[in-house]
Amino acid sequence: MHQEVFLNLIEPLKPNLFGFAFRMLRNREDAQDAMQELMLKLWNNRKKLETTGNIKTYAFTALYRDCIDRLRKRNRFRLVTGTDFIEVLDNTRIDRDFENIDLIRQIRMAMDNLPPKQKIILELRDFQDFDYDEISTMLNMTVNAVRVNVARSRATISEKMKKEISYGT
Amino acid sequence: MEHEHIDPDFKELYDQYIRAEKAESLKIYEEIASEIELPHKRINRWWYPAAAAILILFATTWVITSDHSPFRSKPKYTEAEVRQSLEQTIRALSICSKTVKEEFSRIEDLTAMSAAIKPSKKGASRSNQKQESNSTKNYIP
Repeated sequence: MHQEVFLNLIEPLKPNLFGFAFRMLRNREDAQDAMQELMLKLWNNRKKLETTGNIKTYAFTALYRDCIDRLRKRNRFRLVTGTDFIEVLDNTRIDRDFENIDLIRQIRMAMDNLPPKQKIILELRDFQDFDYDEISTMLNMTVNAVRVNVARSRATISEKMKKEISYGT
Repeated sequence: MEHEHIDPDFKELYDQYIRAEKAESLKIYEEIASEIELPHKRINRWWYPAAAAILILFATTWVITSDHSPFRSKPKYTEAEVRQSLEQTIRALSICSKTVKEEFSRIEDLTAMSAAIKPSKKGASRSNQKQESNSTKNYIP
């Protein structure tokens, strides 16, 4: 694959890929590292990408695997040292123009507390607009399992929010 | 965005959350976008020691073999000087050989001359026979 073709394919995906990594890892430097690794991996596998065709699916699959590895390492580190890589939830960066900013923060916390697999599925479905078939292929799950996980995680967040709102009133 | 299996009361808030998250990550991405190196421009870290080793190898080879190397001891004589010296030696040798040849021819001339000047060998042979007969006479068995 020619350099220019590669860049034309990758450049539009980069903001979304970074967003995915950032939301998964909740750490700017880690997300940047993951992106750097991904770029190198894609470049090294560019010949394979020509035959695979769907570069978006390939890139997100590689990135989610890398994120999972990083989260595992981080958990091990946390267990050993008692310290955490995760930045304090940087809520100040959420645009204050958004209505219900406090509720949005609550949703974020609920989202971050989901099991990693559910969080990934919800991220791929709601943030990256992959369809169920694509997600099932990427995560090596049945389509039905993906549907169930999406419904379950949304319900979990929704329930939590309902509780928050009812406590607030 | 279509959200199946979602509580309609929650949907609007959830959409707002997604927009907020996307806006935030995009803002951070714009800050760090230039720091993400393009892979085709990135030099792998192992290249640095490899390149350094190759450079050192080339430099050492140059220092050892090059005529222009400042570290290499210069030869005592230049090629022109050696050539000149050899030419002088050859010239001297050829002069010598000429002289030796001349000397030899002179010696030959002198030998021929002395042979021509010498008296005949008859006298000498007669005296020799005399000496021989004297010696046989003195022999007592």
